[in-house]
Amino acid sequence: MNALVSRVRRRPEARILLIALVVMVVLNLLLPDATVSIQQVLVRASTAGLIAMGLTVVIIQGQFDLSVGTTYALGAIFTIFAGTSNPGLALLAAAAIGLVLGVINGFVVGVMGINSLIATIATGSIGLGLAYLITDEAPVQGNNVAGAIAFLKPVWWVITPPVIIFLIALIVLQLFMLRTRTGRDFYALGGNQDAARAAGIPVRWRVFQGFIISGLCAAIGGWLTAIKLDAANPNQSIGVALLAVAAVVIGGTALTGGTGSPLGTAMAALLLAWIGSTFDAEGMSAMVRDITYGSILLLVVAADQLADVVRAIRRQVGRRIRLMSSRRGAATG
Amino acid sequence: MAIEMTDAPESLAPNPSLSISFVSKQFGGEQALEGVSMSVAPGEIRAIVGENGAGKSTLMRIVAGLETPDTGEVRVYGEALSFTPHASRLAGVALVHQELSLVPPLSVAENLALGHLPLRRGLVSRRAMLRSAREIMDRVHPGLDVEETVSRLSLAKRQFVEIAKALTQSPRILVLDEPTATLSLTEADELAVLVAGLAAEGMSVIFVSHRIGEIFGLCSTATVLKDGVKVADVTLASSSPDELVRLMVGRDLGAPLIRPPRPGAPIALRVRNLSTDVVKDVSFELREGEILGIGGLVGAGRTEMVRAVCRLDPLNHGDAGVREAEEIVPLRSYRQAIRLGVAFVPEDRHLEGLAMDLSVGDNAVAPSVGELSRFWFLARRARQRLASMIVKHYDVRPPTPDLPASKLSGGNQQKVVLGKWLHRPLRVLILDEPTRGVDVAAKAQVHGLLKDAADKGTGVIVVSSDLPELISVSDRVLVMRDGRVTAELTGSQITEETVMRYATP
Amino acid sequence: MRPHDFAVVEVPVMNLGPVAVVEVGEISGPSPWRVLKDRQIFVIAVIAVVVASLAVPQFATVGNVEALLVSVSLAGLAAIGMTLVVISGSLADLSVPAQVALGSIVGLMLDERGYGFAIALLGGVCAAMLVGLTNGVVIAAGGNPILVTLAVLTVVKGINQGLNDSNAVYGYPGTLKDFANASLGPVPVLVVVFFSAAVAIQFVLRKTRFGFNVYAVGANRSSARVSGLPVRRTLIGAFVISAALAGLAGVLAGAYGSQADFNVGAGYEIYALTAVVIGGTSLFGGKGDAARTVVGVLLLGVITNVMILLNLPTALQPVVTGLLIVAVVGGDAIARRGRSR
Repeated sequence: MNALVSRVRRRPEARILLIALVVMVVLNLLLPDATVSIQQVLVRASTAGLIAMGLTVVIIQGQFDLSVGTTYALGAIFTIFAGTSNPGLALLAAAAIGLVLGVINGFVVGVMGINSLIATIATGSIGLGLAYLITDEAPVQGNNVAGAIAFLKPVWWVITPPVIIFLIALIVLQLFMLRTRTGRDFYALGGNQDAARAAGIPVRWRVFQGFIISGLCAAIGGWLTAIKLDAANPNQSIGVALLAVAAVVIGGTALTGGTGSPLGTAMAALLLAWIGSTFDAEGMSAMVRDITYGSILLLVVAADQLADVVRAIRRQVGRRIRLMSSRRGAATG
Repeated sequence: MAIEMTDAPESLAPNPSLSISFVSKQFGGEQALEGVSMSVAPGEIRAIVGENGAGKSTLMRIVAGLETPDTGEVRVYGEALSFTPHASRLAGVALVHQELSLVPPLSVAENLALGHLPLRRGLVSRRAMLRSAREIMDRVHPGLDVEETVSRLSLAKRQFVEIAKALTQSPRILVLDEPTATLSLTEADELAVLVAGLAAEGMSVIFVSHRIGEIFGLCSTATVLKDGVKVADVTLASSSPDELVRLMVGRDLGAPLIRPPRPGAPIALRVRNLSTDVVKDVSFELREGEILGIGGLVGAGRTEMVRAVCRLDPLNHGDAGVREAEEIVPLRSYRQAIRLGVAFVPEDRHLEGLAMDLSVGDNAVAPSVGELSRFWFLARRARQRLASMIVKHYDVRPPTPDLPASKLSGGNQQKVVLGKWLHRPLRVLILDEPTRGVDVAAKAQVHGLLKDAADKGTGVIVVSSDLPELISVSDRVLVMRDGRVTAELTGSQITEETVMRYATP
Repeated sequence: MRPHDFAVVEVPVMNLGPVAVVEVGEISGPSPWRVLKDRQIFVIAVIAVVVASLAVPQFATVGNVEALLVSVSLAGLAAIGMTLVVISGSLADLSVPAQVALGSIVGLMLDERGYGFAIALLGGVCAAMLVGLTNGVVIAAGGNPILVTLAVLTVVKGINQGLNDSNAVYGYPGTLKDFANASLGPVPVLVVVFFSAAVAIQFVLRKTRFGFNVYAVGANRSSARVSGLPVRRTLIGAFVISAALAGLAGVLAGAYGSQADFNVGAGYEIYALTAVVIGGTSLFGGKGDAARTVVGVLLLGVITNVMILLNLPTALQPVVTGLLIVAVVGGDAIARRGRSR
């Protein structure tokens, strides 16, 4: 039993499970009558979840990718340009642009050695400019509205095609990160880069691979959205990146690298989608949703600091009590 | 220690496993090593001893390919090394150093297999990984859970994992750089048994240590380094710990260093029942002009104790107070402690001692910036004057306040750290490992500065793992183990043996 | 328990005894070439201006320069504030857009209700400062700055939407708007505000105790703490001042454009960070200053301006900005690696 507990505690997903439980209970208490369509939650989680899982891989390496929003937008635009009537071809087009952006990020971070935060701001900026250029800064329409409707029809039970893609990506990425040498190298890289290099791990190549995975996931996320809406909008990039980062962090991946998993991120994406859908079903505004998302993120980020504060208070209280009892003891004795 | 080794003078060995000839190395104008030669036989356990800054670590880093010597060569079983980590590893050299090379968020098993994880049908085989990890850990430190995350292990356990990791390379030459600094006596004995076993299989083991006692139990020969020069290869069977220390330090530890006792000097600092998460119920008094040494193993709670005393880290119980006028004023915060004349010199210069990107001058004046300001504004002249005065007085070389601190040598950096506090009137000066990574000349200067401060009435606390240093500097020594003070030594009681006896269970 | 006074300048004389003398070569001051290389961005900016003046006839006209300066001054204010945050070692304040929007909404709402110029301006700035205070407190306690400011961004964005019910606030045609659109002689007020803020922050950084602390904390937070510097207060101060400037930019943006909503300030965080980084302030903290950021802001402005004058598509601007970052920071990173080898 103890072994089981310690095994669960060691899993990076333990915290997100706890958070999910708490949120579910609170939601149930506050909005006891809210009904949520699981099918919708899954669809809602699939795009942001896909992007966030790719981002997870990069963050586990100890890097950061702020260009996922742009990559997502470009993936969607290329899907429309390739034509939504042939989703397979469009997927190839989206994947190609994701690959290109991933390679550029890998080069700028891994080879040139620029801090990944600023590097991906730069590449994101370049990509966004290109997106504006090729679309004339206006939304672009696809040519397959029927396909868009079919795309959201359940194939089986509540499982729609976007969700299948999301689940496949989850399984592949989780297996990759947990059970392949390359994936394990990513963890080593994020945990202690010097040790990884000393162990003969090709650090630069791994950085390349991480950004390629992130680029592919974001672009495929764009493809999902473009097929779903039969349209793409170069302005859609901004909110998505932030939502993805939130999902990664709430899902238990530390920005310092070396810990976390795609599964935790997927669970966080589902949780956020659940909250969003519940609020929508209750007719609440985007404002409430944003504040809730931000507060959860802030609580998770500040959790360690809060724990410190609680410990300090307990310490002080303990001191007072001890002091008082010792005084009382002195008085009686 | 139970292991007896046969005496085999290695210099006569026909086929040395490791031979180092005339190796010299300079760092920024300082001679770290000069013409060092030595050879080690297969199956030999060789000790390398010397003070902090004598060049032990540099020599070992050269053997491991982490540094390239300016002149000289190193041969492993006759093959000359090309001084890259890869080449040294291929030649069969494994180095276990003080800066740990583990990946904290990963499990023990995965750390041991890092870079060569076992595969089964293209995927990492957890079972095979755990099996081989258990195999090797059972030999190195039985009972350690190989599935545990390294970041949750104690320093001593991590040291064993580190050694196990080196052994996964099946090395022919194993270099252990201060492996016992974090270990208790029982654990050190465990390590000695392991090392003796490895040597019996023909592995050469090079054992760098500060602890003279354990060297006599384990090794046959000790190579003594001083100021980057090899002093002697000492056959331990016909030598004594005192002789070895004399060779290391180059002087008798005795007469010239003893300071006149100051009976009845007023109390400078009083610590009562101090407890933190690590430290348990420590009480002591420090008198003005006294140098109090704190001895013990790494991880015994020494650093935690002194940090809590000056309120840099939180404490759970007890208090520390500084005498001002006729009263003992309790310390409530670190910044208040500084205002009352307490100074703390941390153990890690890079992490906490200096801002390496800032100039020497800015580092030196940082604690006094308040006094250098009128309201919110800095007095530029006074700041420059103070910076250049500190640099001159504490003999920082080069004496250029505008240079970034990173450009200085370790010894000169430490002089800046000391200077930034010593120019202020101090009641209590607390130093944590004040001469780590400092060359021997600067080390003597640092000791001189401590004595001067004490002579002027400052109470000084020195935490040091360098036993000869602890013994030669301190008027009185407190020994700590597991967060408690286990002994208070004065006068002739202060010897390496007594310190070690009380430091380990 | 009064802290006793230290006579700091009086350094006790120490007898160090005999010391092994190490010969040290003559230390020369920084060579002119090094100084120039250190300030390469200034050179690049000058070259850019010269090239623009020669190549584009409309560039060097009073009207154009005025338009250029006005166009950069609002986001430039945010960039000046961001400089403090970056030097303090806190990477970036991603919540800047929310601070700007909040400043504009609160400022114009107060203006609309007739509280007058001063209250409106102060109210907008103070609202933003509250956001900065939240950032500062959590980050000073050890929170990761990227995540904390991201979370705060999300929350404040939500609040902004709630405040104006997703409708724009238009303010009241009065002193606030007149102020934002006025000129001091030939110089527009916005430009005056931008340069005054830059000068003020430059002064704070270089001449005050707080400025010293910002550099010390940014260069090494732990060593600053051990040296007895007020680390928390410094970090909180950096975030609050940064937010104040963002809020000021917000009120002025709202007044200048006669409209405030939650989209005002969108993209300011990227713009500000870009200007700071292009100026040569290190992302790792402890280096740089406001003058460098002003040059970064102006360089970005010149590039944008020239592209508009040449009738190039505006979509090319982010592309050029991104390439500029890669060139400046990448060149720096490669040079640094070359030196360490």
